Amino acid sequence: MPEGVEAGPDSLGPLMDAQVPAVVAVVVTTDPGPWLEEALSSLAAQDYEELSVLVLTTGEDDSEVTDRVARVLPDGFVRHLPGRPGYAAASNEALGMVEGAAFFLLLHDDVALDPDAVHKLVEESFRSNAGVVSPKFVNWDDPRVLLHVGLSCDKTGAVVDRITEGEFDHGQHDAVRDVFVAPGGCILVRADLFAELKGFDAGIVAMGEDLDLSWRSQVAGSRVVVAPDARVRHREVIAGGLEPLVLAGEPEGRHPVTMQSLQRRHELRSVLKNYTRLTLVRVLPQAALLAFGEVVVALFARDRDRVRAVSGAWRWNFRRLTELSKLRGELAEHRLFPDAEVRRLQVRGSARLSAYLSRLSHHGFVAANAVAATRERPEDENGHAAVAVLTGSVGSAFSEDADFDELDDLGRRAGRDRFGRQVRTAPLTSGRQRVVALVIACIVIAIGTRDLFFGTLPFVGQLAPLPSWSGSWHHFFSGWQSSGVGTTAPASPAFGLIGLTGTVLFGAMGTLQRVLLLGCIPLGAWGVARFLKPLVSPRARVVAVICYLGVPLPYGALGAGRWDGLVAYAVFPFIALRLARAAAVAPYALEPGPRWRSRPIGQVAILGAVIAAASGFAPAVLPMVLVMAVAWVLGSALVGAREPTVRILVVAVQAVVMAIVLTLPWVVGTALAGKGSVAIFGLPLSGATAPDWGDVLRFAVGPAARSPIAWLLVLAAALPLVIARGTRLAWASRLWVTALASWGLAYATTRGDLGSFTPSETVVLAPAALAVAVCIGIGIAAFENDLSGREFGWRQLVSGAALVFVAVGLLPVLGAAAGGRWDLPSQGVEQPLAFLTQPSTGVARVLWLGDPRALPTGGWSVESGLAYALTPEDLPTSAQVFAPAGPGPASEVAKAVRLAVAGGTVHLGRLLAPAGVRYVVVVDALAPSLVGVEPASLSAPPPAGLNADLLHQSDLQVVPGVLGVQVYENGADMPVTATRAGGLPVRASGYPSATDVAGWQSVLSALSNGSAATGAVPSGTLYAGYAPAGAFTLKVDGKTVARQPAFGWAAQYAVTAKGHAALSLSQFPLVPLVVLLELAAWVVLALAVIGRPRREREPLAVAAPLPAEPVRSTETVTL
Amino acid sequence: MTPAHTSHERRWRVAALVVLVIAGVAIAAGVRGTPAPVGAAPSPSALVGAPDAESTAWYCTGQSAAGGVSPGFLVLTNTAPRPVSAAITFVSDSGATAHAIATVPPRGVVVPAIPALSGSWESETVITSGGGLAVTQTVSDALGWSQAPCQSTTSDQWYFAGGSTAAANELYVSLFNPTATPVVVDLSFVTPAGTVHPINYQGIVLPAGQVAVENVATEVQEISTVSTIVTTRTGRVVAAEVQELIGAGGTTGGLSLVPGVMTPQSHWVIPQAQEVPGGPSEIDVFNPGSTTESVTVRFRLPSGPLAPLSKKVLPGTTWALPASAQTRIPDNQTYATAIDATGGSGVVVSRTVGVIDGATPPPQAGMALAVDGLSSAVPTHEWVVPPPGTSGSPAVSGAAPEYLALFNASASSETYSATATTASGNKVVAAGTLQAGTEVVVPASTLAVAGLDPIVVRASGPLAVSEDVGPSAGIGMVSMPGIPLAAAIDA
Repeated sequence: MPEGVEAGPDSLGPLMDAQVPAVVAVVVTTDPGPWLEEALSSLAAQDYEELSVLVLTTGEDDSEVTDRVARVLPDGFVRHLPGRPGYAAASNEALGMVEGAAFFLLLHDDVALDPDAVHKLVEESFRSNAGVVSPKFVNWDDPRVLLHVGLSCDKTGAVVDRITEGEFDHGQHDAVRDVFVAPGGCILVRADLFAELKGFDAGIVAMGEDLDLSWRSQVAGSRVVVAPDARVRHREVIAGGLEPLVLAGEPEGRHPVTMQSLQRRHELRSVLKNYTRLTLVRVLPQAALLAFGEVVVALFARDRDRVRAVSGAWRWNFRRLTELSKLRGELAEHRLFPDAEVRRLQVRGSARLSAYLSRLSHHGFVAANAVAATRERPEDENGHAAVAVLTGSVGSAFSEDADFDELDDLGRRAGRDRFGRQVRTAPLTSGRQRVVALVIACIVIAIGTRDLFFGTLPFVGQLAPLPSWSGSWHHFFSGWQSSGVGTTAPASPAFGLIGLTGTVLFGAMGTLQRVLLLGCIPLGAWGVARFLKPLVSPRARVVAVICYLGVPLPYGALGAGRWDGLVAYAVFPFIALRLARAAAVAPYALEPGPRWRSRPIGQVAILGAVIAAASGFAPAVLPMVLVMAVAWVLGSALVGAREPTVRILVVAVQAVVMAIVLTLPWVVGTALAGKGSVAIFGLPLSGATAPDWGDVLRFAVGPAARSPIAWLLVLAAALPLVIARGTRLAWASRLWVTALASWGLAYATTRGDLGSFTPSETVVLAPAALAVAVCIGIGIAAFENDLSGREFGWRQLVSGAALVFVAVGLLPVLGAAAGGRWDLPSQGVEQPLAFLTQPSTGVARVLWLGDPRALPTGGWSVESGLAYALTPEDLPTSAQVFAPAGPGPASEVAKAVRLAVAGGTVHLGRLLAPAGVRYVVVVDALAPSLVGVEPASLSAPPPAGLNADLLHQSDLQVVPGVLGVQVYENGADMPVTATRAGGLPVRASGYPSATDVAGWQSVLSALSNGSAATGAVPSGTLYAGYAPAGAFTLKVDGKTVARQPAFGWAAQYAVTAKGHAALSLSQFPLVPLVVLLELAAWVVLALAVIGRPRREREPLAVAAPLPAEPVRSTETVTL
Repeated sequence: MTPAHTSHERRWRVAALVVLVIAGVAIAAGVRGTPAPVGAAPSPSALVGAPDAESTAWYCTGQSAAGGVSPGFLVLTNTAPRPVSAAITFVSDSGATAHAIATVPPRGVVVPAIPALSGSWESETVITSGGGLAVTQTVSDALGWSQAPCQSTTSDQWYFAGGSTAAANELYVSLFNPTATPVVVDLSFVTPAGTVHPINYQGIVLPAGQVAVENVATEVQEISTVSTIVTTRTGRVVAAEVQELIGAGGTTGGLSLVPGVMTPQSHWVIPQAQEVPGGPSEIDVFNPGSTTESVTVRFRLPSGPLAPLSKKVLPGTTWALPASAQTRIPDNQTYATAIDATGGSGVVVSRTVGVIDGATPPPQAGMALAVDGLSSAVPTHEWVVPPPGTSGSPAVSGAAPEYLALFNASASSETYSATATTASGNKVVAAGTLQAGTEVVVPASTLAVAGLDPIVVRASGPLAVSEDVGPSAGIGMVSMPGIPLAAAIDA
């Protein structure tokens, strides 16, 4: 009724007025700042007549607050609550103080309402039949900037905002809609609902009470809606860090309670008490897994606050399980909706993970974590966050275009324009389509790999179990390896990496093996996406990534158990990217930045580090980098590209030199192997079993995805040679020359055309796989750009055919995925050779013979197609997989095998005896083929007649009952460390006689990685079959015993009296020292790469860090 | 054409390079073909090891105990210019074993004593220290005698082309497992009526170091031509056949020891043979493979070649060619025979001379293996022909070489020399040049220079070497092929 007009006696006005629901605004304030008056004034200015204001003061200095309220709201009520009960508990006091209210308007003291806000909130409550109504929150100082228009959350309670940070209000969110969370600060709630729910959760002192109330309201059957027409300004003095968070009752600890930790613990609290038990069984493990991942990432990022917040949340809640159970029971009494219904408005998946991956894909690890650790977040000159604000979807990794603006408020794409018309887009032009395509590709890969995620990997190829984390470190630093009969050559740097990552994973070496193996495939795909980013459109990138995932090479390598092929597949995209950047091959260029890594030398160093790390697992990566560089130069020259060709070569050489420097001890140890050092790249295969030209071209080097259809991918890759121009043509030329070089080298080496230089074909083919995938992407980009606007002709037809080729060419991998393990055998030699793991008498060795691809361990070549390896009497481990280049004295074993194969002996067992060989194992396939159990795997037979030659030996006896492999027991064996009473010393060199190897008794324990072999010994001759003999010292009862040579390489000692003997490495620890230096070089490089910006040189490029500020509640959507 | 594609960019260079490389390598790969599987080249079943070998082994089987079907002894012939010691393990079919050490002087011959073991049949393993030693064995009984090389390797398959169980003939298959691994053996027999797999000869278990002899005549009865296949299910064995050809009344006939053949081959040569008037003889060509073989048999008389005979030999069948029925071959005329097979994995060839009743004195019947292509084409082009014993231990009374036949198995003329080697020096027995496809027969009078010394044959190319040993009253009944040398020895 208008002011000044009195109602007549028959007026219905009073009756009508009486039906206006009474609203009580409950303002909780604690030591309020100067904004209180403005907030209260906004209440006083409301056009809603039935509005009462109840101000609840907490803390001290009550009188002053009362006076301040009285000055602005003379009709307001003020009540003082002793202590600091917290906002939620204080608000709940209104339930006992107020009667007759229809609504409570629960307010912070830093919220100012527009004059019609209450009116519109109440109106919307009735219109929507909502129990809880939230207004639109805008910035206190700049109302154009939105703060919240309702919130949502995911299944783990992680709150996600519907708007982006700093988003301006253009009315884009002004539709009334259901939301999951009504943000705290201003909530209109039906009084009966509030009472039924017993108000806020008093256990939540701050942060998260709004989530909990909204959640419980929905469980109780009420809607939560946002009414954007009702606008309030929010100062966010606590969440924004303007006022410190003061909490009563929180224990004093070494680390103060932060907003982040409160938010995390209360999110988890809401999850634990608002879901039913059944739902918790499903959701809680997911939440725990995500939390664990978040902690791991935070540890990497040195974000200790986050680590404490996440882990503390779980500790805090698990101490209150009884209380939570009781609260869950209370809520159950009011439950009207099941969890499935309540979850309807929750965000799918993990909000934090999605946002984190999005940032990761856009800005890399450091930037992504810099956002989380806000103290490291740089600002631009306007004070805005320099890091781009993302939409929180992994799909944005491919979303440089603006189409992500089409995402609706729940991350869904409306698919219609503003006039409601269906928008029709070309394939893969929208971010959603690309995301869907990538997700499908990932699903296919996941399906194809599903059997490998769990369980035990077979002893196939190079898949022997990793040593323990400590064992890896020990092996890395040890001055002696057990490979062959022993060597002092430094171990592969791979053991350093394995040790490091194993340490980080707390010794979960099985998990580490899977992560390293299976992670190579997505890592390679990611590398292709990064490599192509400056070169092609997002659509072309997606196609190229899918094609890289669709090349049979990694699955062939995985099915054959080849570490090296997978590692090469993963790293070559990154190597190509770094090489292109460092050499500034257009359109690649060094990204300017303040850090050392942005400089050319930094880029070269990083490239060198990548090569060094990869070559530890796949040594052939090293020469292939040079091959790739030369191919790029040739490719540039072929199309007449004006590129810094010399620079490419210089950078590649520099990087390789850097890689050599970073692995210098290993490289030197390899070089000392002489002409045999090339064996480090791979062992010669038999030409008869080597892949033919067609196999090489279609990457059919393993058991999986060998269909000739894969040829079509190669054909499709030729598209840019026909239609591309400019930079794209230049790159297509470089990559095609690379592919030709790669294919040619793979074909020639497997056929033995390059002599003993036979790098692993799975490694050599990796650049070709990259070239094919990238060329397909370039072809798409060329179609988009170079044929745009041209008349329809044969080029368009060719392009269409290429697309069909791509689609069909991916089918082999698609089909191979059905198996679930890429044809990797389900069991290797561990099943038939299980007896090797049983304890046996004395220290002995196993001689492995077979095709290099079939050996489940690293080895050396006897001849083309026949490799050998010596391992301790047990199943091999990865310590033997990455064998040194030179066999050392173990070459005597190869000589003996050659002699037997040539018919020069029938005493092979005797010739092998000095090396302690008890068993000879001949493998003829990647995995034993067991009828009815194991299908035939990749056949890699040893040279014909090998088994006949071994059967011909008078002292080798077939071990019966071993299926799938041929095992011979040496009837003339002698232990590695043995003694015999008296007797003549064994001869220094030449073929051992029957007398030489007879009568030995085992003594001493095993010598592993340099630890001493000890035990009681009688008087007599003690034999030690470890090399190099000069590196060992035998002490009996502390006295050194003189060493004499035996069999040309081993040692014998004349022990004059029985006693306790110890055989130990006694040489100067040169290897550990140089390996330590190597490690130091890596640390220095790492510090230089991730170190602080060089402010004094490039001050303008350095962004000043933000002042320390607490995490805002809205930022909890970021990991 | 768009301007983009008419620019200075030389896209076709790259395209041409790609096409050229991919197509070029494909063509080159096709021309080159798939490399042969790596592995040791197939070697003859009897091969004298290189002198610098650490050790070699010889396996001898087919002898019986004294008083048995085929008692005999070993002849150890050292081709090396240094002494070679040999560790001999004797084993009988009863499981009894004995050991002996023999030292063979440089270029000398030793006949070690055979210990008496319980049992009916015996086998020996001879392991030498170093190489250069050839081991042969001789067997004899009242019907005749025979000489054959021992085997220097084991195999999982052995083939025998000839054999007869007709009338009173007895055919024994001797199986010896000299390895340290038990083996399981199956025997199959190819007869004119088809292949038979007697149940009693399936799954014969032969423990390590054991010997077993099966009398074929008990399961495959009254078959004039029986080819035999020995197959192991596991492991490898050595196999030989002992053939007793018994004439009417049981007083005439012959005894033959025939070593098995490991690998069917495409080229075989019978360097010397002779048809005795009224005497039956046949050449057995056995095709154990799975494809039909086109077999051509070429006879060559001293006067020149005869018109060849050809036949398609089906898989798993034996072509028994009655040589004595060939009118083109005159009686009492020495002739050579070359057998070539194409179309499959090869054949196995032997020659059988039947019992001649009525002749006086009756010539010995017998069965002898043809000289296989692997032995002829040994890379060293050197062979040793061990003697049939020593003067102190002759095979039979008066046993001595009668004819040494050399057949040029190559397509070009080759030079040759035959040298009797002794510790005191070498004596050249014969030397000359052989035209392609021709043979030379060194008569007994010339061979008398060598006496019972081993003869080493050297040539510039492949030769089929065979020595006919008497007394047998005919050529080709008792013959000793030249055993190839793995490494050349000093002249």
